[in-house]
Amino acid sequence: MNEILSSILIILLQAGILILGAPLARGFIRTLKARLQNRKGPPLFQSYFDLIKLFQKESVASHNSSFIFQIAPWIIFGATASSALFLPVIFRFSPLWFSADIILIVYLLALATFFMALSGLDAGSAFGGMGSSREMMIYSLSEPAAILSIFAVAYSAGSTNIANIVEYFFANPSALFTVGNIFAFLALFIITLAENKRVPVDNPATHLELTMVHEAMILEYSGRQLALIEWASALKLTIFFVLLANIFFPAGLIGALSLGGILFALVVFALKIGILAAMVALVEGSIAKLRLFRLPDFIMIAFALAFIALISGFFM
Amino acid sequence: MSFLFITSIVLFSLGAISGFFFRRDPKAAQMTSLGFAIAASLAGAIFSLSALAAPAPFEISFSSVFSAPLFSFFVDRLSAFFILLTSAAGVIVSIFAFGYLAHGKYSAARTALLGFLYNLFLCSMILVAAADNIITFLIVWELMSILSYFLVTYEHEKSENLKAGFLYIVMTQVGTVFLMTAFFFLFRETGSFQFSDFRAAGALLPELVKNIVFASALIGFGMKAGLVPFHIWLPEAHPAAPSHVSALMSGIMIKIAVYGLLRFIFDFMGGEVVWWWGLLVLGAGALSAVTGVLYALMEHDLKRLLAYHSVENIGIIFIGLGSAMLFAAFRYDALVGLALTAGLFHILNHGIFKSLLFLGAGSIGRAIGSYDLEKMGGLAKKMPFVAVFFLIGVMSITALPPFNGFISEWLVFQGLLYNLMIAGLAVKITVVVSIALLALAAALALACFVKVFAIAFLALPRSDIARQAKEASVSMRVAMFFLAFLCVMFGVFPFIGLSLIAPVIDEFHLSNSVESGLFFIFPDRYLSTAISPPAVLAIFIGLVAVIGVAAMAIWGRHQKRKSPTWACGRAIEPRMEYTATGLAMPFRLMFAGIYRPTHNIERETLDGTGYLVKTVRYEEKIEPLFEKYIYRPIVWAVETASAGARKIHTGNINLYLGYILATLVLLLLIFV
Amino acid sequence: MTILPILINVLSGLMLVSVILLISRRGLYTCINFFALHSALLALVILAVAVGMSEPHLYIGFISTLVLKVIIVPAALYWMIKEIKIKREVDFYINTTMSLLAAVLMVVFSFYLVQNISDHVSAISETALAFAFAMILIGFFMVISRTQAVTQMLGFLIMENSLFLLITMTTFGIPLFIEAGISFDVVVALLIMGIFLFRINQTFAHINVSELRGDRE
Repeated sequence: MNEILSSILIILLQAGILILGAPLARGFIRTLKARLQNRKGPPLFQSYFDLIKLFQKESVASHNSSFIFQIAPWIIFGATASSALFLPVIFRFSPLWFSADIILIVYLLALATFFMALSGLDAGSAFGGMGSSREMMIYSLSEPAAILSIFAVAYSAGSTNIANIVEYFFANPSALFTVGNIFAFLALFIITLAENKRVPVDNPATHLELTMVHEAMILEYSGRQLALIEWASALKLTIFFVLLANIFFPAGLIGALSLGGILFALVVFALKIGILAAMVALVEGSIAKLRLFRLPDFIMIAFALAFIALISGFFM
Repeated sequence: MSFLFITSIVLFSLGAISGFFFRRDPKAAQMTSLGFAIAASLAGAIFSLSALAAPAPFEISFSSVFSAPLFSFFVDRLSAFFILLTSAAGVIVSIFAFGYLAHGKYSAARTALLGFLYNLFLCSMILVAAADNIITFLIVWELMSILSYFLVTYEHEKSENLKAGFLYIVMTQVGTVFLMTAFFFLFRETGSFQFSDFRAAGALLPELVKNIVFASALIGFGMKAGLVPFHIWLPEAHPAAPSHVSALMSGIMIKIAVYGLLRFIFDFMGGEVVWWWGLLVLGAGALSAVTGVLYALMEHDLKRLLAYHSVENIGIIFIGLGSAMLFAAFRYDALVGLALTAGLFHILNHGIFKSLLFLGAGSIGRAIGSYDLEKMGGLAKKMPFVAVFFLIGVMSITALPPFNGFISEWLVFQGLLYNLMIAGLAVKITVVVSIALLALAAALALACFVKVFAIAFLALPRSDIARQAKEASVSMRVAMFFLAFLCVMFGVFPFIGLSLIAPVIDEFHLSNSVESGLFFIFPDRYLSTAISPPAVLAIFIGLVAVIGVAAMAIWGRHQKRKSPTWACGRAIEPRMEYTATGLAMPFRLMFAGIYRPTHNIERETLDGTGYLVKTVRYEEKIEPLFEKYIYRPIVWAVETASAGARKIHTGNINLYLGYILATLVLLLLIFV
Repeated sequence: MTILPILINVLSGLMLVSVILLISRRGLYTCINFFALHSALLALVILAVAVGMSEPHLYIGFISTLVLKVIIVPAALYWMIKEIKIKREVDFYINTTMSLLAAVLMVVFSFYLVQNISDHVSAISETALAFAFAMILIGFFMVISRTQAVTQMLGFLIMENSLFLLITMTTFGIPLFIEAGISFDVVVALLIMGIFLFRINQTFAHINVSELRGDRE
């Protein structure tokens, strides 16, 4: 009984922190960026206020749209949230991790992207189509780099299973500071910017045709459906942060269920996510958004780094 | 159960000729021939299932019926697997054909001809998988090719179908020449036509002969399978045939070619694989995957697009095959089973979802009379069942969880990951490049099918024919439902599909690393990588339910409303929607180095002043690279050589008699 | 001893990252900044070797690299750009994607080289050796694939830096004379290149090397 209870508690805690805490990460980036730009910026919890407001409002759908428009927000949220359950947040293990495969996570996020792109085209407006087209372009460029950097990590750990990877790095801490890992981390950081449509790939704050990819696809959504999609995209960003933080720097993950341990791990987790968020905010504040057809150049950097990451593992 | 095999052949033959008995009634001709096809396929399916489960292979030899050992068939587990695939597809596609062919436009004779070709085509594919003897194999192989040629040119009113058929038959014949070369060398070394004798001797072949046999087999079967650079006939031939036949060709026939290659490598050669064979196959597979999807992105004819995706998926299958061959060459015996399972599972899955997609395309074609994506739109409202089934097919081919495509692609990735353990720089670099190309192909496939599904089914209809579309008939929907159901079942409970493959792996005396239970699959029993599709699905449903219920509890029911799309103040028109060409534009620009498109802009102005533009016409053409740089020069060379050789035909009888005299003198000189 | 190779691996890896970022960027100032980063990392490597192998004369190397290549050379380049009013974007013969793929290829090639010679050469860290080779090749590639003299100069300077890294790795800390010679060499090279730039600009009013081909008559 105790076993089952602690298992459920572990799952709930990790899921809860990630899913409920996701909007906070986004809010933190926004506030930090504002401060860097000498503005005051919105309150830290603004994302939560937005979500609560949107959940109460009605959703309007276009006459032209089909069942895809209605089911897409749920599928996007479900897919993203499901992949969140397979990640190490504060614990080194979780009973769900018999199925926690990094490739599975990548493809669950691809499922969300697929429905997002479809829903952008469903209303028949040109903005949505443009957003979907650009989204697929960016996605297809970043996939090879993402898979290669994942394979770089998986190759050194011997498996693509998250539990195995975390255990391997706990057992061999010196394997964390290899060149391959550093390159993979940098490549994944660039992919994080690309997949989550941050500057320099896309500007999440504007609604101009020039600078919309993600915002263009969700332009037609409103109310509860929009709340689900916004939550899912905040969650996706946090998922990438968790991958960067807890795969490459697994310090602070605890092995047992204890109140002191949980608090400690939470603090370390918040610190790691905070640093990553600060890095993103810094990059967003200092680089200008790239022209759409300069994006292949940018994402190719990630590909080159990921490729070198994988092959440098062969020669150690 | 071996009598079922013969029953199946008999039923197919009956189905072939039955149509001709109904001179006046095309409907009856069709129903009988399709009915026989279904019965025969069912018999074949039951037979193959029992052959998979049976401990010893079936042997059916007609050497006792004919005095010479001319026809002999031998069904071991590998053959049984492919016969199962063919039969199952035969049943479902025939059910589809009831509705698809019900338009009654063709005369009874023509319908009977289709029934004849269709039944014999299915039968020939089963026989190829069962052949045990060079002569039998070549006869039924040629039969399969010729029958499919006639099926491709069935709608001979359109000249492009005839051209496509010609290209197809030429490429197939060239492939058969290579097959004959491979068989010739095997015959020479062993002195026998029987496959069972090759098994014993194959491993003892000298190095050079082995390489020649492998290369010839790869080219011969690669041409039939659609491996790059031999794929150019596929996008022409598969769209030309009627849609249910295209489903069979893309879903099954190209896999029969893979069967042939598997038979050569793992059976004849006894698994004694030379190291660079695996690299060649892996590289060709990765190249096919990317080439297929790149050209699919630029296509706007639905069937051509699907045909290019067949090239892509054959590439993925060959990646799995190459991966297995690398393990075999470097003696990682435990892992050969893993990569081979991945390849075989993808064969099974692709057969299912590619057929589903082609049947969907057939339904659309029947409903609106065109396969042009730019004319479609809004079909989800007009054909909701087809839309849902097509969506399942799309999600399967793009390897999205929880469908079957994801499982087989995941297994291929696992195989590639373990390939990295093999020593040797050339191997490692090739594997890394293959991983990158596979990931790229998967992502581009996702982009391409976003285009396909969104342009065809979503938003507003772009033409009148799309506006008048009607839902597909019952039999078409039933057939597609079966296939969609299989996609879901193999995706959520992959152990069902894997249990069909495990016997095949066992038969090659390979240890099967893939362990699958009700809830998990482990790609390698020694390490604990695993996924559990049912668990993922359960989590997904659970989370959606929790959030949905919580939202409803806290904030009340979800209110919804419909309203017109905002189009900057105007009424929204189909012309404002995104087009397929527009969706593919970023890719056209990014990969312009590969596509090398040629542009042509024509402006027509009023009064010839050059300023008041009346119409602007923009034309862009993409000619596939392989055709431009490889095949056209070859064709030119052949034509020039033929034109040169034609000079000896002067039509003058005296000259011909002179040739005979000269040859006679020459021969006498040489041999005396 | 065991922490030194790891540290050097990390630092030389970061050097490779800065080179990769350098060849993909189009802003001239950004490129110079990445070069400064490259040199700073090189200085850190020298410091690490100085501490780890207890070679005190390398401290001088550390300081000279820091002063010369992180401060003086970039400053000189900035000044040159302002004086000659060079356009602040980089022009390529070979586009970014191809350059990055070429860089990856060179890294693979360098790894292959190092693997083959590893029995005959002892180095503090073989990975760093491979990266040094790769960066030399990439620097050379930069000289070939860029059209402006300033970026070609940057390529040459990167080759110089990477050569320094290579030598440090294999000789476990080079004697002071050679080090001083190399630093002097850099200063002289910079002076000569600067003079040439001014002369070329005076004569042709631009420093676009590709357009100099017309002088062949």
